[in-house]
Amino acid sequence: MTLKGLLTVLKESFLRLSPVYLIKNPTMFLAELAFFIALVYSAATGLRSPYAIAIIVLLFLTVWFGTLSDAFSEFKTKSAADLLISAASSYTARKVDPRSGAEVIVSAEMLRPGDIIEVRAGEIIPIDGVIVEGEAAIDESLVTGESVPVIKSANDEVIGGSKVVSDSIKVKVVKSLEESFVIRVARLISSSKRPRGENERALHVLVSMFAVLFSTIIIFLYLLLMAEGVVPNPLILMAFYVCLLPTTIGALEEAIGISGIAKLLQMKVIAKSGKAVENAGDVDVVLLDKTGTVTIGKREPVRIVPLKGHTEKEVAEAAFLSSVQDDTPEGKAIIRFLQSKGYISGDLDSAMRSSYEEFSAKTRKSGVFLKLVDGKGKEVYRSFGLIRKSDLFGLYLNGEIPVFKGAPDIMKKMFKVPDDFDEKVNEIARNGSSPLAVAYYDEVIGLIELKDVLKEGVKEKIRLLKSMGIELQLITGDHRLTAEAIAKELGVDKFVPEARPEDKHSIAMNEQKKGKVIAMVGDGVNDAPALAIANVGLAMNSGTNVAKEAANMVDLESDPSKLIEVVLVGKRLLTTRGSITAFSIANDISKYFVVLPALIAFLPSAARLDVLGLPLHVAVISALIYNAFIIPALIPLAIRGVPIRAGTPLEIFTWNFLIYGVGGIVLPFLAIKGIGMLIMLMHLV
Amino acid sequence: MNELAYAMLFSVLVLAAIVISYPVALLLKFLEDKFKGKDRSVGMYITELVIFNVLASVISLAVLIRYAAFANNIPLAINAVISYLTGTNLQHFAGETTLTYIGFLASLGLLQWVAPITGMSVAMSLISSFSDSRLGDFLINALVSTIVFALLVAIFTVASIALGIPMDLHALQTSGIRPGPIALINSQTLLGTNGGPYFSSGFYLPLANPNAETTILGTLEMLIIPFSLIWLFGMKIRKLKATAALYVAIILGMVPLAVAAFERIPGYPLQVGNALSNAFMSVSMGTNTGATLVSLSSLTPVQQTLYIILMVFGNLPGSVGTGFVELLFLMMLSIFFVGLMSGRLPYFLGRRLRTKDVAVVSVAFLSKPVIVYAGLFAAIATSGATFHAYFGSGFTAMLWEVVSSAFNNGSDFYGPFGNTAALNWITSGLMLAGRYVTLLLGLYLAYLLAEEKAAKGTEEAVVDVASMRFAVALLVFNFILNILSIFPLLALGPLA
Repeated sequence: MTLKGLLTVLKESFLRLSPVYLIKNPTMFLAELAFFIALVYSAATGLRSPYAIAIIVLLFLTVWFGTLSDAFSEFKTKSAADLLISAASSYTARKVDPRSGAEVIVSAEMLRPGDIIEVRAGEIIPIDGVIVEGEAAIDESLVTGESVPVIKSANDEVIGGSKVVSDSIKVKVVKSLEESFVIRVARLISSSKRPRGENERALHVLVSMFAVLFSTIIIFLYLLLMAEGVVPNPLILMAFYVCLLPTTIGALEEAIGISGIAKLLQMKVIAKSGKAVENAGDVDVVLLDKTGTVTIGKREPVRIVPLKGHTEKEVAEAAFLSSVQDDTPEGKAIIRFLQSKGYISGDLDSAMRSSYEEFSAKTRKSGVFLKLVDGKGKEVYRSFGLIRKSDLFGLYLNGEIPVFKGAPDIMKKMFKVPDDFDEKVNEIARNGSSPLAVAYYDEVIGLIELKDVLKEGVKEKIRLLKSMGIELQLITGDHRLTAEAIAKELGVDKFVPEARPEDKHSIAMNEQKKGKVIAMVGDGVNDAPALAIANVGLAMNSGTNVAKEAANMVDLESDPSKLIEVVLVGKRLLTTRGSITAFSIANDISKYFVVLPALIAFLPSAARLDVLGLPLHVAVISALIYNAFIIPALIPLAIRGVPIRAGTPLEIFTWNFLIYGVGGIVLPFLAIKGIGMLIMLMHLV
Repeated sequence: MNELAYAMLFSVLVLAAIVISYPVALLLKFLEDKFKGKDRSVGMYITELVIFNVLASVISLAVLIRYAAFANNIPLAINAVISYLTGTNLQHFAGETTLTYIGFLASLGLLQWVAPITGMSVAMSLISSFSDSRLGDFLINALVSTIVFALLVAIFTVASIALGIPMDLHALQTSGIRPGPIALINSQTLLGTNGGPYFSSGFYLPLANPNAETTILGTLEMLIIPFSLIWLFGMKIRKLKATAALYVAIILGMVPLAVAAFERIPGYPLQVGNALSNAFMSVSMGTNTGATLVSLSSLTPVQQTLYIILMVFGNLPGSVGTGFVELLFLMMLSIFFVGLMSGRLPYFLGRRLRTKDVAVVSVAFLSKPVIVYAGLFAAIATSGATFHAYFGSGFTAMLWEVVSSAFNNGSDFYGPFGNTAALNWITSGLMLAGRYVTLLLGLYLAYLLAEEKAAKGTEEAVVDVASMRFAVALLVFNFILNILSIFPLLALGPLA
């Protein structure tokens, strides 16, 4: 941290001492009140003993450490956000006049939706937009952290802050800078308006309950002692009060909350509202999209399955012909697979020239119509064993032979199928793979088994979520058998096969009706309604704008499997908050044995309670030192979070309770005794 | 008898009560199904409950002021009525010198029925808000409770007579320390966790408690209805393991406290023996019955401390109805804590616990320390030198008076000496607040939960309330929450 940053944090921490600001945090507000009472009392009575001064200073430190941790954690997040904002606002743009084509240089803030700007090699795209002209390599590392430039051309979206590496493009501005994604999020983080999630609100109620309980105890303890004719020392009373108040959680509450947003930011996930992060912790049901979320989304061919009456070689050849012109990742993968197996030979030219029918989501098939009648037929016939001599003469569809590959159900409708078709299709599906039917002439001759590779580590993460009792549902367009096999492999109990994107919406709705909190990912226009109602909707930055608008989180790296990570971040946030609360409350037990004796020193019970055997005023000072310094000591834990363990909620609870609950009971006794002995060794008293 | 033997004896008594309470729960469930009433709105339910309680109080008061001791001292009369209406049975008078047997039965004795019937009804509603998402009908619940209570009173009165407790119906018009319908009064006062016998010396007199067998019987009587409600809970949510978990939490809380409090009580009734006297006292405190068979001032400071703690817990197993409500509050608070510390939203038996539920439970939990601290201050400030309530034993006596009132226990140091206007008014307020804040917040919570639809299959996944781990969590939270709130007062009183 720079000196300037340090000063900012210090300044901010003092500004936040204002009671007007602190009132939002009842615990810290009451602690500050106690400090003021102690201060006014000693000022009014002229109390200037080192003991009194030490108490007042330590009371102040307790409150100040709280605002300091607030200011510090916010500063860290804010500086990351500010970096984004300042970078975004400092850009200039080459605005193109639509009529004359003349260019003027304007600052990015001046741009309005609809403006056309030109960005040349080496320049930074100042604002979110859509390419209208040109193709360029773009480095998006500033926003996504992905250092390999991506090629983008007309109609592709570009993100403000990314850099054009080669060529030049014309970009149509879609949003003003103020509305652009990065700025909006950065502003959100800076504004520090962090709406509370349900669990956090309830925790707030609970912490307030303890604040009221200890306030009651202190007020009536004072009144009772007075009624009995004993005037308690107000300084010790206030010291006791602040020690009992759950200041540890009160001071760190904000830092914990902010750490969630910061952690997502590190993961390149931008939360559009703080609430989304809080919701992530409350998630009960995760709707998994198969493709992308749990699998790489690239289906790799693993096996060729010839159907009755056909050979493997024939199927390979047909697959090859139908894929030569196929630019989809799948088509390319098939070519690669065939090459590696040595099936490739023959005349590519003919296949390349043949009219190609592209794959579309509607037809769910692609392939070629081989032209064999224009004199080239012989060569093709010779190089492909697949093509029968008779095919050359038996005219088919204007002399074109269809060679297609596609979804089995579609292909079955369009071509003849051998008897063992269904059996082989199911066999592949049962492996958790997808069958791709390959047809030649008028018949499906074989199948290609495409296996979707599971993402690395995804199984372990799913097991972790499952052990916590979070329900996982796999929603996939796959055939029932495939879906079942994949669900089984992942250990997911519930799956929805042959699902359309609209189904996501209705599933999410149903689960929410049961009061459950849903997390899901999406990128298409069809996903938008579901993303909009999901408590945690993670959209892909590579996806459509509609989806990004509907979702409450966007992954800049467009990795759907991050949904699981996002949920874990939220859980970690919650667990951290709960554990520090338990720690804070557990600490109070020691205070009854350390500070209470000083307050009732005139009674024999004081000596009985005093298990640490420190002189009473040393005990009070030590307890206050512990109580104040435990706050900065726990900042790293608050920011890093309590590690997530596998296990049922009760198991996780038991573990965290043993560490933070039991630890919270024992630690202060040891620490206060240690501090007290140190004070005595240094002859400070 | 050493600690180990005593622990065994105490555990056997508790287990026996658990066994005996099982058929009681079956009967409750059977009758509840049989008379299934309409589902009332929470407002209607509370109105009926209040009318029922007020009516009974008016009748009781009308009978009571026919006796001079009460007619001349209205604060005492009101204190007595509130005391019996709330199941506290704090007595600032001596029964045998102020009331005839028939007068007692027609006024305060009547309320000894009203209190447990009201408590059972509320507990039944809370249970059915979980099992059937409905509050039910107060009048039907009261009818079912009355039948079960009457049956139990009849059985235990006969048993008491068989064991040698007098039941002399010819003596109804008389008063004083002489045989009367003692068997009846004993069983209704103990079964209803009321705790107020006819005689001011409680169960010390051989006339009221002639032998060891009657003491064992009395100890069991106090536990039966509170335990039967826990059985009913498990039966109706179809998860007897939840009942088992609650019993484990109660036993693991109650037995160690009782064993720690096991000491030779100077002046224990010879016909009973020291061990059984200890057991009777611990159960009387744990159920907040407040029946005593020794003088409280003869208890050691350790015993006093532990008995106050047992009273303050209010759920080990607590008194009829309110104990169960307190137990549910504790379960919810625990589930909430478990949820927080394990990163889950809290679900209780498939129902989401909302912030509002947590707020209700928090207010209910807070209400007790607030009334105890405020009440104690008011009592000490107004009593002046009357009670010598200075730190140590004097403070303990006043603390006991306040805690006993706020938790509807009813045992006290003062007895007729507590009959001052200030103390009568203050304890009346404490008894009312202590009981009705719990009951009404319990009902409000039942209403909130009945509104919240249960989601199938969630209950296991989040926090399994039917597990031993949860039982231990309950126990731990019970100790931490209650000890944190009462500890400073113990340091000023019995520990000083």
